[in-house]
Amino acid sequence: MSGANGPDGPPPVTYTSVRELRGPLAVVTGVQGVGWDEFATLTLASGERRYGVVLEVRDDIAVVEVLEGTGGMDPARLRVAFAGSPLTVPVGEGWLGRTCDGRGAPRDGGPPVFGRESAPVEGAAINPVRRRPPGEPVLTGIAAVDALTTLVRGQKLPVFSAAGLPHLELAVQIAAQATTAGERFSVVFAGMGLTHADAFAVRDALEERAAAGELCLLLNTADDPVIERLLTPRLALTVAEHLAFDGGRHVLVVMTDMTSYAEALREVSAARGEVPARRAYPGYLYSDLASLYERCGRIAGRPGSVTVVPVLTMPAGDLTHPVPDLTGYITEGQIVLSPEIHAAGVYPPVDALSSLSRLMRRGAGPGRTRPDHLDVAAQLTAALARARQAAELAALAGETALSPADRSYLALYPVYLRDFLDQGRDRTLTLDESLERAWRVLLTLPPGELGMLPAAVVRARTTGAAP
Amino acid sequence: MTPAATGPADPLAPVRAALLRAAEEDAGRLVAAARHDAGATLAKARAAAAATLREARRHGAEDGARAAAAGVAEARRTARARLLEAQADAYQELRRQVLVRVRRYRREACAPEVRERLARQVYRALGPGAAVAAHPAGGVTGTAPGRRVDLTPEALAARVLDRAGPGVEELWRS
Repeated sequence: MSGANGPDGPPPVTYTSVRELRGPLAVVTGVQGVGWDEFATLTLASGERRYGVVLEVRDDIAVVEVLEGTGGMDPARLRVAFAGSPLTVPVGEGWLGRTCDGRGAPRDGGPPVFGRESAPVEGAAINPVRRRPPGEPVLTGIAAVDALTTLVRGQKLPVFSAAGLPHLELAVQIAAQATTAGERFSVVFAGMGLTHADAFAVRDALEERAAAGELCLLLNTADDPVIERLLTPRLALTVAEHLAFDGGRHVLVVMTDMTSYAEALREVSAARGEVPARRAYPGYLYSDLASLYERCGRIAGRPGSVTVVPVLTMPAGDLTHPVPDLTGYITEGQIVLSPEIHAAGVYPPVDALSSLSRLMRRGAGPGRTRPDHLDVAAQLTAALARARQAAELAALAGETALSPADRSYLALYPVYLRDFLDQGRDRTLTLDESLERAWRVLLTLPPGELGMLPAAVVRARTTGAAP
Repeated sequence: MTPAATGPADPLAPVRAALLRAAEEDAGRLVAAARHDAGATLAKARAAAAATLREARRHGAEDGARAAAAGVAEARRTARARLLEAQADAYQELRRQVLVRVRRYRREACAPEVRERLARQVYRALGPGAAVAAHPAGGVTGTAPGRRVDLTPEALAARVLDRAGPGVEELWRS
């Protein structure tokens, strides 16, 4: 982690004129040539070093947010050095197998992370002209995702959840299980605003994959400074970009919880005195989120891909809240978790009818997954929609008033929950297993109801004859 | 008076014999059925016992595999943690040795020239009005109102090591 002062440049000047400390902020006077978002190192009288980011500069005054807080600091004996640039980090394979905090300092007892090159954490979105469309699947081992909302390499597919739902477990399970069928694959997991218990659980669940050198874990806990929470997803994406486009890997970046990230953005924006917009989030929330999400993709002429799965909780389950609302404008679909399905004891509680992968056709079907994949997914989704209609009709008119076909759809739903959706937290399903589970559910319907599937395939499944 | 008619000595004997025969046949059938039932029950019990044994073996194998996998995972985690600790120790030792070597310059003939070069760097950073002072630990520090430049061995060594890059990893790769 460093700034821009080269080894042969002038020695770094440290400022000793700290006018005041207020909360996590240090006000430094007499500064020259310091800019917004510049990275700063603060040295205490004891020799202890802390780090900060410049929040505001006016004339010769800079306001620095100290990442570790200002507790125990004596402003009269404090030295502040500015890096001359925003935070940069070494990049490369050194991150694989490591557990670090939100600004890249080791949390695993190891040495600092080293790399041949450094890159600014701030990063930049991929040039739209140089983008290659997403394609080919990332298999998560979760039936509801792989079969019905296939994740595609280079895609951004968020998980929309609410408080109390197992979104963290799902994010961890995806990070632990995801693969790209034999191609070089890595995972960068960015946890933001996690409780210590959650951080421990995440580390425990992902440590094995980390030990295998396939995963980098960045953990920002709820008690860590909010400015570090803003750095965490940027650091994750910077690490991922270099693993992907220089290292030729397919990299999955799981970022959770983006609502916690947006709240940190709101807090910093308030500290900067910016005019608040909807629900006090800054007016640039949309472009800020886009500056993260648009860093995923594939680049023409370069190997590898960066796929992003941001997880966000909708406060009070409100889909119109600014964070899910603006996220939905940028991303390519969503995986929605349902409190009702969770209450039924089914895991993962994915609401298939509200979930969608807009790029699924680029990653599933003949030549990509299995020839019957798209047809099975379409038929199962249609059947679930019809089952919901039948349930609404039964609630109004009674089950006896339903047609035999409607009754078969009504009977399908519990079978779907039990035999398809409910797979448990430790179970990885291959794509074949997921699709076979879907077939078992569909074959509870009369063959005449399976109009989206090739008749020969249905006949073969129902009679055992060759298609 | 008419004499009593003569008949079999025991007129009920055929009946008794028939009843006995029927009872014996019934008993034979019952014994056969009981034997058959006992055989079937025994076979069922044996099948159930075999199934229970198979299930127990399967559970045992699964538990064993799970325990073995957990053991391997734990061993891998422990090994990884020790490896990282050892790497951190090696890195700290490198920092310590670099600092010791940098401090040695004070005993070498070039020390005055080095001090002069460091002072020139202070003036470059803080301007000609800066105050330059020799530091007790070696090197110099420069001060100007509200600003300071630290060119002590500790600061110089830390600056170099912070930019050492992946070369440091050769410590545990070679």
